[in-house]
Order: sequence, then C-alpha cells, then structure tokens
Amino acid sequence: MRLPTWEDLESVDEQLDVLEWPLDEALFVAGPPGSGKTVLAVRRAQMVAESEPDAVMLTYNRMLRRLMKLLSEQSRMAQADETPAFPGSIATVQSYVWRDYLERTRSKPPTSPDDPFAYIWSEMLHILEQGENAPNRSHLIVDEGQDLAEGFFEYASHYISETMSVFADDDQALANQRTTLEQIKRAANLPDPIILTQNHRNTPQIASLAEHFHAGRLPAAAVRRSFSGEVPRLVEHASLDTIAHRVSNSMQTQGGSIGVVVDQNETGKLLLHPLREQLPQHRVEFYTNSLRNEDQINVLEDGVTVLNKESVKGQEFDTVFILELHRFLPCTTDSEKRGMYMMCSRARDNLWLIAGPNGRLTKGASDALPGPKILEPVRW
Amino acid sequence: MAVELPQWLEDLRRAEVVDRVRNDPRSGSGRFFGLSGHTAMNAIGWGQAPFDEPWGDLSPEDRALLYAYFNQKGHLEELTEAFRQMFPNRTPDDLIVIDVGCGPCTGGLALAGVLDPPTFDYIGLDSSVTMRDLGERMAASLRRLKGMRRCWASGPAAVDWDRAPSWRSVLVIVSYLLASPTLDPAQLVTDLDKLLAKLGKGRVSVLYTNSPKASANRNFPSFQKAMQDAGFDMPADGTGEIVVERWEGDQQRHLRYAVFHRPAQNRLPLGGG
Repeated sequence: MRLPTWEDLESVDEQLDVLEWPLDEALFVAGPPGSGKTVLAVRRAQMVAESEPDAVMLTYNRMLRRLMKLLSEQSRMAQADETPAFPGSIATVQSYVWRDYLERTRSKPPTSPDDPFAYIWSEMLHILEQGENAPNRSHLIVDEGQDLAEGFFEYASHYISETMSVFADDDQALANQRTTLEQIKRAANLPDPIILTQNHRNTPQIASLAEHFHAGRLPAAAVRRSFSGEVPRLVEHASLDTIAHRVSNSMQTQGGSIGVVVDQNETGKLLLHPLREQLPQHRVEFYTNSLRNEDQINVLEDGVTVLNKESVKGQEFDTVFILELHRFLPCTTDSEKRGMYMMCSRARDNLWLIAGPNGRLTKGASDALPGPKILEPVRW
Repeated sequence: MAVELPQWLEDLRRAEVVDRVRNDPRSGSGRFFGLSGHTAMNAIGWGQAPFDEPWGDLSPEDRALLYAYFNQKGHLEELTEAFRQMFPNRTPDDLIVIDVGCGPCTGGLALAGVLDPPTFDYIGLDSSVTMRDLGERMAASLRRLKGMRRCWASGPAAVDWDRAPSWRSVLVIVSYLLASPTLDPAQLVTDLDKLLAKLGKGRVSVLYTNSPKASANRNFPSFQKAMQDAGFDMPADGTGEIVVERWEGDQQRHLRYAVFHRPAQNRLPLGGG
C-alpha cells in the first residue's frame, strides 16, 4: 500500500495562488482581516511594476496609502533580489480620480450636495462617454475594494485600466452602501475571487471576539497563531486621565505598536497631550483626515497612533484600545457589526474595549457583547 | 514487518471486546456466545448484518461484540498502516474526521493510535445504534482519548452539527462500507457532500479501504463517479497488502484502497461572468 501524505495532498501556502497569478491578467482576491491582503496587494503591485512601470495602486483612504507606501519600501529592503519599491503612483481613489477627471474634462468631478466628497459617478461616466476617453494605465491595483463605490469600478475599468487586481473583503465594509463582491466583479470585469482562508494576525482569543461580530457569508478565517494569548478585556467606564495612564503604561511595559481608536476626533485630540507628556521618549501621533499628516506617521515603527474608525481600516497594531465603546454599540445593523469586526481584528496580541471617556454602556450595549470567556470585564 | 497496534489499543480491545466474548458463560471450547466460529460469522452476516436486531439467542449487543471480535482487528491494522503513511510528521491542526460506517469507532481508534496528540473532532456514522454505543463505550473508557471530541449519528443527513462553517480540514474514512448490499453510492456521496457543506469549505481527503474481492468493490465505480462529480480527484487507487501478526505466524492481508481529495473551496463562484 502506498498512500500520499497529508501534506502532499495539498500545499497550505494559499498566498502562492495569488503571487503566481499571471501578471497581465485581472485578479480578484477576497480575504478576511489578517489574511495578508494588503501585503499581497503591495507585492503584486511591485511584481506588475517590474514590467509595467505605469501601473497605479489606489487605496480607500490616506492612512492606507501611507501604509502601502511604507510596506513597499520595507519589502524592497527585505528582498535580496533588489526588487524595486513600487515605482508607480500610490494614491487615494478620491485624489486620483479628481486629477484624472479634471485632466479629461477640464472640470471638477460633480459631487453630492449633501457630501462634497461623494462623487456622482453616473454623471461622470455619462459625461466621459461623450468624449474620446480611454484607459491610460496598464494595470490598476486596488486594496479594500469593498469600501469603494461601484461607480468607481466602472470608471476605473473604462478610464484607468482594463486590467485590475482588486483586493477586498465584503465583511469589513464600513459604509451602509458597501459594494458587494458581485458588484465589484461585474463593474471591474474580474474573474471569480480567490478566497484567503487563513488569519495570520490575531491570537485565537482576539479572533474569537472579532468573530462575535462576524456576519459574513464565508466561514471565519482559520487562525494560524498558537493558543497563547490573553482574552480581550472590557472596561465599562474610564476617564480620559485613566485611559491616558493605562495606554502609557502599556507602551512603557510592553512596547510595540499601539493603536488607539476613537469615534470622535475631539477625543483623540484631548488624549494626545497627556500621552505625549507621559511618553516623552516614544512616538505618539494623532491622525485625522483634516490634519493630512499621514506622511509624518510611520505606523510600522513602535509607538502610539491615535486615529478614528475610518482611518484604522487596513492597519494593524500589537495592542489596540478601542475607546468610546458606548458610541459603537449596540451595533444592531450589519454595517455597525462589520465596523466592530473590522476594529477588533486590527489587534495582533492585546485588545481592550473601553466605554468612555464621557459615557457608559447601556444595557442594550452590554447585551451586544459576548460573555466573559471571550471578553473579560475588568475595572480600572 | 508486521503492523503493530499501540499497546493501549490492544489493551482496550482485550478489555472491551475479547474478554467480554471469551468470559461470557456461553463461550468456551472454541465456541463464541455458544456458537461455532462459522455460525458466529453467519450471525454477523460476515460483517454486513442488521446489528440492531437479535439473531437467535444473540442480543444486538452480542452481535456487535462478535463483529468487533472477528472483524475489527484487521480493519484497525489496515487503517493504522494507512494513517501512518498519510500522517508521518505531525497532527494536522483542528481536523474533523467523518467515519462513514464506523462500526465500533474503528477508524477513530486507528487514527487516535497514529496522531500525537490524538486531538480531532470525530463524527461516527453507522446505521446501527448498537454499534455506535459499543464504539462510544470503547472510546470513553480511555482518558487518553479525551481530545477526541465525539458525535454519533445514523448517517450523514442525521448529524447534528451546530458549529459555524469553517475552513477546517476534513478526513473522511470509508472503510469496508461499499460491500453493503443496501448501499446507494450516489446517494451516500450526495448526503456526505451536504454534511461537508455544513462543516465548511475546507479541504477534504477521503480514505477508502475494502477487501480486494471484486464483489466487495462492485459499487466502487459508481462511488468514484459520484465523487468526481462532487469535485474530488483520486490521487491514489490500487491494491496492496500489509503484514499482520497472528498466533500461527505473520500473514499477508490484502486490501483495496483509494484516496480522494478536494482542495479547500477558495474560489467564490459569483456568477454573471
């Protein structure tokens, strides 16, 4: 009797499926938090750019653009084969489309009267159809595609590049009107997505808490890390001073990278001063969209980064403090659940959920949380 | 070299099967529960009996014990050798095992003897509740098997699995099942595939073993066809032998085997393309 071994029957390196995909073909990858989507997107962009230097990489927000730039540089340094850092453009969808549309039509993109950042894609597409417009890039790489409008993908396939590599997870979309994988596939003319099935980031304990808020159609990712972490902790009330003290203490005793996620930018601003005072030797930074300071922040270096829910998307930290939990709960809608799922899964090793400052959990909010085996209540 | 079962498994069989048959007041002088060897084999239908029904003076429990007494050891030896070849290095993470036609937990016990530690979810499927009860009694009697989380059902459609679908790997054991005259292979694969969908989208490997006799494998072509229709390929298919130790000396034991495999379903068909 001669039988194949369990390992022979199937290679477990699913990321090779993505890396070995033909560089001149469209690619669609769906992956949960921690599956390596962003790193794979950067690696794909670098490989594409070796033969197609005009390739462009577009992201959902500016912090993610910054992360992809840092990862691209880090990857270049790590590669013995001297792979170049991505030489093409890395931009947010918002800014890239603004410039592209302006160049093509000599007018600004039309926006919603309610939201000056929300492009009216149907109108833009209609206007561009009238002229001689064609794609002008050989390849477009997009990360966090689920948070981009369906209209963007139509715009991109008609006017940016006919060949796209899109990385997405329809379980993490923040917007109520998220774009589903089906919509992305149709609008961007993509093949069926490859699903990444393994979570390399979170401890099993953190993954369990994140999965409490997971409501997607695909199974939760298999956690690859060993069962040796701490159970995430819940603080039902804490003042700003206490929070600053605890975050500082965590930085001084454990070090690493710390993400502090707030709902209100004002809370982040108030927290910045005491944190900097208590951590004079460490990097402590606060990012908001309006500060436009992402290029001064190196999220890959140890230190504290304070940022809001929208900006934390795509990032990861050793320790994450989610503040103002009372504002994120009871997360009754799918969109709110996806938001909690996304935020919890930013943490590699330690996760704290904190109601406060200036608020407490209602009974409804408490009921939305899992039991103490998954989220351990503690008092500060 | 003869296949050796782990000592704990030999001890378990002695305590739960062999001694129960031999020490029964009806046994002795070459008789088993009062029956000659040949009649006892008739009582267990040569492995294919309705074990929940009495037979003459034999209770269903007697018939299940006789089955384990005569047939289980050889099956354990074949599966032990198969699993040693399949798992030479390490215990796979978070494995789910479905033992179709499990009898007295035969596939689960053989696997537990090979994996270190023996940690996996075990779903034992057998139409006979008497056989399932014997299997549970054997597995429950050993502390070393506490990492083998067991559930039992009469068939794939009856499995009560309340956990969320996952990407966990699944090993399916189909050992000496296709010889059953009442089995519909296509229906079996359909029901099995529904159960696999409940478990998730992870990789699935199926180990098939049987007697090499043509009559025992008459259902194999339709089983193979149904498996291929369900997306499985067949990386191993053949006949072979293992050496087993018996009181009269080492003997060759011939068997038919095959392995089917379906990778994790990591392409999401969205349609419209």
